[in-house]
Amino acid sequence: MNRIDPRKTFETTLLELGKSNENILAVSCDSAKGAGMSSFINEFPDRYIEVGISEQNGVGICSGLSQVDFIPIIAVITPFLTMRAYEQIRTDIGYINANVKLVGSGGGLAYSTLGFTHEAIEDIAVMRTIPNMTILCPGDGYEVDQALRLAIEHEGPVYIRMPRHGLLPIRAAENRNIEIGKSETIVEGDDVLILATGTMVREAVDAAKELEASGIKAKVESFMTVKPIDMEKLVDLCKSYEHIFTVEEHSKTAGFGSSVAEILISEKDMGQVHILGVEEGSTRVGPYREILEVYGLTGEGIAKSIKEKLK
Amino acid sequence: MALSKEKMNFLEKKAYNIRKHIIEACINHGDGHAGSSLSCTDILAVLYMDIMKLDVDNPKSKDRDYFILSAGHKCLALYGTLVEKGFESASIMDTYNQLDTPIPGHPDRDKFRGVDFSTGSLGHGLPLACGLAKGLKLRNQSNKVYVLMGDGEQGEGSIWEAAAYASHNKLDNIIAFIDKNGLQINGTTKDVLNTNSLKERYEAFGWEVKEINGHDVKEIHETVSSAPFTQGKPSLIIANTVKGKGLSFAENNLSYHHWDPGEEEANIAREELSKIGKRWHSE
Ligand SMILES: Cc1ncc(C[n+]2csc(CCOP(=O)(O)OP(=O)(O)O)c2C)c(N)n1
Ligand SMILES: [Mg+2]
Repeated sequence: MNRIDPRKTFETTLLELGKSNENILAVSCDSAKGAGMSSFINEFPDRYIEVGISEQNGVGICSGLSQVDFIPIIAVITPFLTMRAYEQIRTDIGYINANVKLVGSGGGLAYSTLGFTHEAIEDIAVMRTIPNMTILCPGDGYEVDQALRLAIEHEGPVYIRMPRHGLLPIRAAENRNIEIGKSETIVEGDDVLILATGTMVREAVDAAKELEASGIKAKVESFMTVKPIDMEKLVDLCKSYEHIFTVEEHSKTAGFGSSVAEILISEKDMGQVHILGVEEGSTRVGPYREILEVYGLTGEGIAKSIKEKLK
Repeated sequence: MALSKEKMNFLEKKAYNIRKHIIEACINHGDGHAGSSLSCTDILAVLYMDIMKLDVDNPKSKDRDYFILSAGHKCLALYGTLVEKGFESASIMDTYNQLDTPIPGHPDRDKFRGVDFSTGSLGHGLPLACGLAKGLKLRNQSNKVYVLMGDGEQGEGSIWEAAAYASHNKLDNIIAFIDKNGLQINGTTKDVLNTNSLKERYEAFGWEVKEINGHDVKEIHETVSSAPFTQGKPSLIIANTVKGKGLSFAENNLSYHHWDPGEEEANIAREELSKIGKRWHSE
């Protein structure tokens, strides 16, 4: 099956949204092309705000622009946005509920050949602490398109964690129904529960197939929205399983799995949570798929971790 | 101190070898920041081969001078330089872009001998240099701190915070370079965020500034050798350079910020290299 280039999807959708909503502005810190903003910029040069290599400044400018009813979309390589400009995002976007859309170009291990300065395994952790922030982690072409549309429809700050490498579809688009704050059941199964987000949903689907071959039926639940998390569904699901596995292309510290655990800890009769992800402070480098393998974040690796735990 | 003909020839040959490492790494192992690395090659060659106090056998020697590649994406130039200096064997260049390579797309101090700071996030280098330089002064040590930044990188506010700190604290042990190639990613620096008044800005921040041709090893050598330009002031060398220098089709071309060569470009690049290299092969 063909993999979809997430950047191209983002680019097409952004252009389309730009045509129907003239309040949308593209804000760039010297990385428009890599972020998939070129078509928008060519079509609407007057709605392109270039701030140069100054991410903190860029986020502040977005906050200011939003106060006169523009909808700024700022796209920057993930650590330089979510971590470099963290306090600006917290104070000037989050607390004041500014209608700004933040796009992290290359979430997780996307830049695995470029080293730890460019990898982003802490972005969900830091964005999760910001009041009013909605966090969307699309995992296939359909979700990238939807995430951007939903972000524009939603009034308030949204962080979109963009994948960078070719994506296989999570499931057929006609069977999907995505809303902010709602999880989605992708695979049914009674033996174990896998909760996954973003790029890891498709890997979890592959893991479920592998597990089935060993007689283990896994349910896969997808959380494109990491915040606000679908609490009701989460609690309901976790009652029925003895073992719950969370999977994320992110540090095991303070990410999606932690947010699940934070909720379950105050509920009664929940299954046991196991967090799958990247060890804090890991700095292995190499080609993307190989790095996913190293961290056990491919379908095969996830299935292996699950089988070991269930032994 | 005038540079002898032999020394000049030696430095130019080293710069050529470094260019070859950069270009071959991209040809053999794909995508690398070729344009950005090629514009600072001559500066690194002069610094590492003839200016900095270094101990190849003891890279963490207390007597050494420090170098911070603030624009960490230029790391292929640094790797090539460290190989030429003898920190690692040339075969290390063949691990580029491979699993667990010691030479990732940005330099990591825990992976490669001779790298002092892990850089790649722009705007970190000058604050790091300030801390080092201040620490060395507190310890009464005379080591120098060299730092190399990009011109687009001057957009980062952290650089200007550090620029003010450096002069306020009289850190004349800092010698900074700006690799002024006039390009960044989205366009020329003139179009993206104008940097034409860098000299005046740094002077207003209390620095002593000199402007040179960043590909003339003689001029680079003479200028760095005379730093600090003024006692009690940090020194800045604005090096006018050509992005992609030495790779004809990449020179001053926005599309070669990074480079994943196809066969045709690879062939041209190798031909051009061998033409330049004849100068030394006939020696
Ligand atoms: C904080 C930060 N923001 C953005 C980037 C992405 N980036 C890498 S190189 C570059 C352009 C650098 O331009 P310049 O400083 O002129 O260096 P050149 O490549 O021209 O030598 C950008 C925006 C980064 N590495 N770090
Ligand atoms: Mg430049």
